[in-house]
Amino acid sequence: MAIKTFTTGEVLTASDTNTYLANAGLVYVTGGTKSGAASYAFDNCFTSTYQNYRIVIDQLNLTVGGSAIRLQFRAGGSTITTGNYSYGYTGYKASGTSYNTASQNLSFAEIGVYVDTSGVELGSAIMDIFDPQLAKRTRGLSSGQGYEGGTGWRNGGLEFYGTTQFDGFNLALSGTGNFSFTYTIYGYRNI
Amino acid sequence: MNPLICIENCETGETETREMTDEEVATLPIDDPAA
Repeated sequence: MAIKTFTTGEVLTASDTNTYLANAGLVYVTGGTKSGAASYAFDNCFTSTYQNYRIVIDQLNLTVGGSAIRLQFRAGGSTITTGNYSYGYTGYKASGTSYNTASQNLSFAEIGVYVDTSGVELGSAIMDIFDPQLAKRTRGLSSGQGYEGGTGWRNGGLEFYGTTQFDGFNLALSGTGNFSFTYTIYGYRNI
Repeated sequence: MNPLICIENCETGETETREMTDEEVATLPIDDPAA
């Protein structure tokens, strides 16, 4: 339900504008472009302000082809690598071939994107991360597009089995080389 | 030389790119070629 409905000729005031901004469903946290590194850490992006988050990754471009994009959570400036991560994705390639992947009890999770070619922007994903700041399991849902002998799409999720409270996350590759991407992180406004 | 890591502090907007320490390299989720 809308906070307020305007009628023709009515003035949009600063107060109304602020009300809309304060009640937006998704609130921008940070965003931009990253390049020139093998690993990217985002610290202090998960705070007590929001319980759940949306992360948008686009224009993934690898300097060395043949990697899955992997996520690890961070706390206090350190990457958490205990073997509590699991993930599972189902999908299809454009050719019609099924395109699934899953694993558990690892030191990382995957976001559902694999890119086998370098120098081309071939990957993107949207992820929702639930409860990273709470002393509960941190869970996520991700939908990704990549390229592995052809374009493929995967839907699924990830989990950290434990009660560690995270304030950030890290993205890195399953293989070698650097990668670049654009990103936007939003917080879901709490009810 | 170790790989580079880019660390963004989303609260302050500060970004630092530097060579990873050996301890940080050990946290990379790279597949073990021998596995």
